[in-house]
Amino acid sequence: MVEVDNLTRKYGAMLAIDRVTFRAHDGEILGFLGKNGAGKTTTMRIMTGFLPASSGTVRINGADIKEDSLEARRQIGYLPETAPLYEDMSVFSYLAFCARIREVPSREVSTRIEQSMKAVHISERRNWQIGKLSKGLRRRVGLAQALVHNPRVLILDEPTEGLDPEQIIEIRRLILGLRGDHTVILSTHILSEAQALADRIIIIDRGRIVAVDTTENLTRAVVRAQRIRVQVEGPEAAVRKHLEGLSGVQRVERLPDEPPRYVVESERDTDLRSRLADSVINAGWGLVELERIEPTLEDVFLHITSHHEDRIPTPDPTPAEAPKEEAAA
Amino acid sequence: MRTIGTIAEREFRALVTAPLGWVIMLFFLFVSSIFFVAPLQRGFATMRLVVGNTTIWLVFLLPALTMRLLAEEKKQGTLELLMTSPVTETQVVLGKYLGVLAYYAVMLFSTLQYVFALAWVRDKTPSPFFPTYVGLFLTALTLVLLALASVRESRPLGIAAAVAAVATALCAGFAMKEMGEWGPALTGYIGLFMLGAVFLAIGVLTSGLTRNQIISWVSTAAILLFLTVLISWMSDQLPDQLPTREANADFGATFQYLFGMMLYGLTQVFKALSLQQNLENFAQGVLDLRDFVLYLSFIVASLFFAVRGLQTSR
Repeated sequence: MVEVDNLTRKYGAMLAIDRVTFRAHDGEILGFLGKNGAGKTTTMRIMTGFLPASSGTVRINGADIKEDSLEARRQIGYLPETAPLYEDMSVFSYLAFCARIREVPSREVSTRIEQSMKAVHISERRNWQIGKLSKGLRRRVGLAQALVHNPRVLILDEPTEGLDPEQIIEIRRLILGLRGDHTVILSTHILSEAQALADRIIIIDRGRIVAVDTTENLTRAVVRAQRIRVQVEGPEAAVRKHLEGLSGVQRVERLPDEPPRYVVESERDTDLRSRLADSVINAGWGLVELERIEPTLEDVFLHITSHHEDRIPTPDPTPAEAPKEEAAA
Repeated sequence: MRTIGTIAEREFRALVTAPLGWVIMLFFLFVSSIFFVAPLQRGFATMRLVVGNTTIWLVFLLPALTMRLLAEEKKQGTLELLMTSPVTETQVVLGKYLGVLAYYAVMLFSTLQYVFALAWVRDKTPSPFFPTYVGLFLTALTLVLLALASVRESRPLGIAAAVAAVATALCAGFAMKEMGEWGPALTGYIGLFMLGAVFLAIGVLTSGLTRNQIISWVSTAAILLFLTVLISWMSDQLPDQLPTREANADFGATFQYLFGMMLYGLTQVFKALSLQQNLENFAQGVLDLRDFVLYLSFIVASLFFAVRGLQTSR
């Protein structure tokens, strides 16, 4: 488990991160979501022991990153924003170097290298000089070095940055495969990535954590209405009037499409779909389309970061609350 | 210990497999060969002049070996790799230092060819085949094996290179003994190695204080120039005798006396710190404990501050 408490880092007078507190439980994938410059990289650098915090603590499976730094670092695999590669080395010897400084026993070094190369599909490039690899391949070598010592905790700073769509899918599959055995904390500014990978999401904005929860809970907390998109074959004015007249409907919006489509809003917990379908059919019109509009993480993210003061009701897990949350997880 | 070895090995290999290391080595051989051949043409066949005159070139060459050590790590972000692994700052600094020191040892090793050439010129050995030809062959063989071992990352080749190196050293020892000059030659090499060790330690320190390699190179060369040439020159200019105090001195005379004392003290400090001075002792075959203490103090202090610099620069 990774425990981060009240982490603050100042650069001069500027607060890069402000009292950041969260937990990453064993085997879970935690997405760290924020705009560029929100404080994701600073937080990760402190968690891995590269930067000292101005105040606050980080514990990796019980080992404090400051007091018991080597023990904490032994448990971490870290992929920084720019993959830390020695360009003059071959892929294999670079990974061997990483394995040795991470104290992998000598007789296991080559097995571990093979496994990590296989995991990121770079086995066939083992003898290539890193300086001659493309950006995507370098990123994969960077990921391989984070995996080479089979760490319990993986901290990945924008792991799919600079990869092509096919590689992104591959890397995402790889990360999903780590769930359960490893605790993964990954940062991203791509919402769909966080949604696709993470069990829970932390949204950080201007150095502060503004939300911590599962995607479903976050969307539920933010989205106050349920929205249905509907297309009906029938006289436009009559259809609209009919939709507005249904009980439970709060608002009907006509989309600028031709033939006309409508967005029908109701209470969050009211599902209008079957009643709406019945009434349209009973009126003798044709029901062409009926679909619930799922709120995306984009909606949530924009809502939360633009309403900085209006925080959504997901409290930061303070140490006292942590066990409760763990039970829920 | 294993971590230090791993980092040292990487550093050494980076120098052997990259052009920079070879350019520096070739330039070093070119310069030292001038100091070897020039006196030879005027009838002085000795290793002493090589040792003495090479120092000034080391002032400019060795910082080029150390400039990238930590500065490049910072710039490329690989320091993040080291410092988020279970590695201490001390291990990083020591590993890098030992790696570059090993490369410097190879540079010195390659000058053994002068010893073999000298043995031939002096014509004291029964035949040029041994030790001269054998020695030259072994020197070349060692370097080739070392380069191959580094490029191919092969342990057997590395062991072969080590065996060849030992054979070369024995051969050189025999040649020096035949010439009756093994004492000064050996102390000269020890002195040159120690001096280089000091230069490299200072280089590691400045490399850790910047992320710009050029700044690292220039500042190291400036410090080394000060410690070798300038300091000798300054101590020559300053009074080397204790000032005398007049019996009934007025204020001005007392002030002059105190100022004289201060200058005298400064001269002594400069003399003690002058690295060139100590090297001359080594070149003449004198092994003085004080020289070792001075060199070791420089090394320990430089590396200590390099570690501190690395700890506080983040």
